[in-house]
Amino acid sequence: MTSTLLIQIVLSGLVTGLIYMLIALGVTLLFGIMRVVNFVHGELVMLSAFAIWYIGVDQGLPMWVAIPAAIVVAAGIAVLCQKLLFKPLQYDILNCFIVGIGASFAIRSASWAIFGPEPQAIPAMIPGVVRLGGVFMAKQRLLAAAVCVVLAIALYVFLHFTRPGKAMRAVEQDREAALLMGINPENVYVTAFIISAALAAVGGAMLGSVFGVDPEMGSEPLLKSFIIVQIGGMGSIAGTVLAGLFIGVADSVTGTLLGGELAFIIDFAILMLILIVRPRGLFGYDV
Amino acid sequence: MTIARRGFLALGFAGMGLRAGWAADKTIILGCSIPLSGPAAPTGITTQRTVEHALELINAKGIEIGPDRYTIVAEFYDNKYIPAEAVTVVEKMMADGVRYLFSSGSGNSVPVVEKTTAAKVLQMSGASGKGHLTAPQFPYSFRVQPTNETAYAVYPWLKTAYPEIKRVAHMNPSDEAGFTESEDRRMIAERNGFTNVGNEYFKRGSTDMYPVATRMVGFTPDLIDMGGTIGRDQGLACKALRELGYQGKILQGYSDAKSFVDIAGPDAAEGTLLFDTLAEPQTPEQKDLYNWWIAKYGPPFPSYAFLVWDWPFILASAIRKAQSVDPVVVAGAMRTTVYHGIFGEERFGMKSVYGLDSSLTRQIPMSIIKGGKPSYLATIDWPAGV
Amino acid sequence: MWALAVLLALLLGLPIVMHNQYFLHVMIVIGINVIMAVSMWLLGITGLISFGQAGFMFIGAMTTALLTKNAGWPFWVALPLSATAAGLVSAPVGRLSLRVKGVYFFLVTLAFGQVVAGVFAYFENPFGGWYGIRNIPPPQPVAWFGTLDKAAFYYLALGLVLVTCWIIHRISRSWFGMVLWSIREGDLLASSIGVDVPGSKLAAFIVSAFFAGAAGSLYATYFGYISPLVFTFEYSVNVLVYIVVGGFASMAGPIVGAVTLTLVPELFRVTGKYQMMAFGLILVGSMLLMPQGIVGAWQKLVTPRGRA
Repeated sequence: MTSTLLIQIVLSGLVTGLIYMLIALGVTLLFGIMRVVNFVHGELVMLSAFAIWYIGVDQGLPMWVAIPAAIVVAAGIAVLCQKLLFKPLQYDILNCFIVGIGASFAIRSASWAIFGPEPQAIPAMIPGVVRLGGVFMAKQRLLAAAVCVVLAIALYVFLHFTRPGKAMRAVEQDREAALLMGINPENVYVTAFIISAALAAVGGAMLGSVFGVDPEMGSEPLLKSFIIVQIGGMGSIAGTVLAGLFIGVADSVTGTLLGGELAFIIDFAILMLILIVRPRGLFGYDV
Repeated sequence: MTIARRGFLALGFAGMGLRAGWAADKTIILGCSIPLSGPAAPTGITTQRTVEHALELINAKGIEIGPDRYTIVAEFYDNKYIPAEAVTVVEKMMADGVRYLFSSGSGNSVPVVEKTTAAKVLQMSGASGKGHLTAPQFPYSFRVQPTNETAYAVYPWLKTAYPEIKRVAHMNPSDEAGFTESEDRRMIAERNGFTNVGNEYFKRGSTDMYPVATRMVGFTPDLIDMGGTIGRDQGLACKALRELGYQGKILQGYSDAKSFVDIAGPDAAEGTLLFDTLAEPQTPEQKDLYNWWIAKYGPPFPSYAFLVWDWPFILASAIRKAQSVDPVVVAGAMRTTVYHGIFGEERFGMKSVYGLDSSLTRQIPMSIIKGGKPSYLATIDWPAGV
Repeated sequence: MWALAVLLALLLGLPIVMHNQYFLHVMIVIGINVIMAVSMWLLGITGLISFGQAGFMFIGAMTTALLTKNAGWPFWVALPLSATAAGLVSAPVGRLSLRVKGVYFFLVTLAFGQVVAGVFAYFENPFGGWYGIRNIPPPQPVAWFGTLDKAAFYYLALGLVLVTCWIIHRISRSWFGMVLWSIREGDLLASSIGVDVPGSKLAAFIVSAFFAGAAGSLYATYFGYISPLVFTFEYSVNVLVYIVVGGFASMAGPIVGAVTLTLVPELFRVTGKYQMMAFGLILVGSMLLMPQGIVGAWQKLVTPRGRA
């Protein structure tokens, strides 16, 4: 195997991994704060991608209008889910998991009915390919990777250096103590849902521009997100980033060298291994 | 349980009643198991629309058998491209007394062909499946849409149209249809003097094609044959290949060209060869269908519609010739019917390959993507002796 | 209890009255789903939800397929062996999975289900790959099972369902069953009074996998065709939904759930794409409005209120 091939494989993997990581960040935020596994997250990605396609491509408005609009749409739906679905169930893990699955089925079917089955695409914001020696990378993928890195850093800064962010971490660590300190947990939860939805929306934009838009596009990223969050550790940003990169590269390596079907099960094999050897993940809190 | 059953029967009868229209006519029910959801849904929806229109035209005159006039009524079921669903759907249809069946996709057609044969139901499939579907032991099973069979016509043509192509690599989804296509196409390529330099499979519906595309590029082929790939996979695969620096030719089929160009991007899609895809209608019959669709559903026109257009007419013509609604008799007539359809003379052949004349042979149109749009390239005649 | 006897008589007499093959087909599918639901429910008593049930079902189905088709063994031998195979595989998987709790446990079992499908999909020989395995022979005597008449299969399914339900019911009412309920109420409390918590959980896991394997075996011999596209995560979720919608408190719940929710998609079959939507909405609706499930709601209706 040549070094060019190896670099190509690793680079591809890193870039793809970052895109999935972005979506995983939304999952980790909600799970870290509220121990809620939000199954609807994948559909938020999908709906945002469709919103961007509709506004940006079908109606022809520029991207800097379409993407914020998608964020608003995603945040709106997320808050609706929080109020109507998760809160009434008192954020019970199993119940939320189940209701989330039901909601995601329903949303997906509605999406089929409204948008039809033809896959759409969000054109690349930066078309073209970069070439370094024998290694190729689409510019749009690099843009997506850059966006993900920036957002990951932004999220970290938010959680550690701003008031609302610190409030979130306080609630995560100890809900009662936070209440005593004058923090309203409900507001924190809503904020968490909104931020996670925004991350999903941008993730949808990136995913849509690289892989196309269709009603099923949310499920694979969601499943990958769960794996990434498990491996990185629930509630840990650094963990999610590292795990995202790791999964991306692992997928790329096994996919290229061993064939696509094996890559499919390697992810899960890694997950099982981590759960057995170190259940809390790389940086997670204890089980 | 009984309530559910009654409820369904009511729905079914209501549906039939609405479509049948004439109380005095007799009806032949045509059950259609097609994918109306899932990744293959575009083809399913196109099929539904064209079949409905075809039946409108057929039923305008009806089919006269003796003193009776028959109309054909279609019932559509979503098989979601899942085999277990397909079996259930066919069970249901046969229980409802359906004797004529159309099914789409080999995953949906192959598991049921034994049942339909045993029940003497005429099964028409738009599917690969090779000898698992069309063979002497399945005398009532017909392939009405050539799938991997088109390669028998395309490869000889490639030799004359693009003599510079010597090395061929194959890329297909890792399921029944994909394996079938790959096997056949490699065999046919070799038979026509090409060298097979690589063969890869990928999971249908994958999002990231870079891993498999990287391997394909590594084989340095002159032509990458993605014959078995459909839907979004086509566009993504093409895009990945071009992004990774592949300069050779790409061959694909069963394509919704607009969707393909959208997903791959016009640059990546440029120059892709599409088999069994008719970009611009050439003959009067083709133009009629094209104009009808544009008038009713607006652009873009899915070229897949050309491929699914003829078979209801072939069925009607066989029933007329047989002067019977007994599927066994009709099957016999179908085998000897020559139909002048949208792609020239169409007849069931390929006895040399399958042991029985059960697979449709016709002209195969070729298109090429130029400037972001599919444009007409050539029409290949079905080779003799196949 | 006479209500049960009447129901039983009805079920036994059904094929004699109803000859409609499609109807019998649906009943058989309901049977398979009931076995899956009831077995998952047993594990659920301990508070554990496993999303790997489809995986164990696949193992059972694959074992039956290989034994009856390739090795030519009779189905009646293959059936118990298939269930046992699933049970055997579940033992080490259970030991490993049970080391983690709650959500983590869901995800490990989910992963396991996917790995099973992946392994069977990857190795075309002998597992059939994505193609799957076709022409799985029906049980002997072929004269009864080989024809288009489904009555024989119906009775086979009915028999299996009755045996499964009886066994699981007995377990849930036994001392061991009480132990399982107590674990759900509180692990620590249970172990403080001497209950072997990990051991009991593992036992429940294995029993649950055993019956899932049996269901898989039935599936294989009835449909004659298995593939990774059948035994998916979505199917495990479906089974979970049967339990949730039917009600958790007693074994009647998963049964009612499986019956209702197998029928509903059939009712909606004509409308195709709206099937999924209906299913999703039913799930959401029942979680929010009817958390006790159908059985629970029924009991509330039937129980007189305001009595001491």
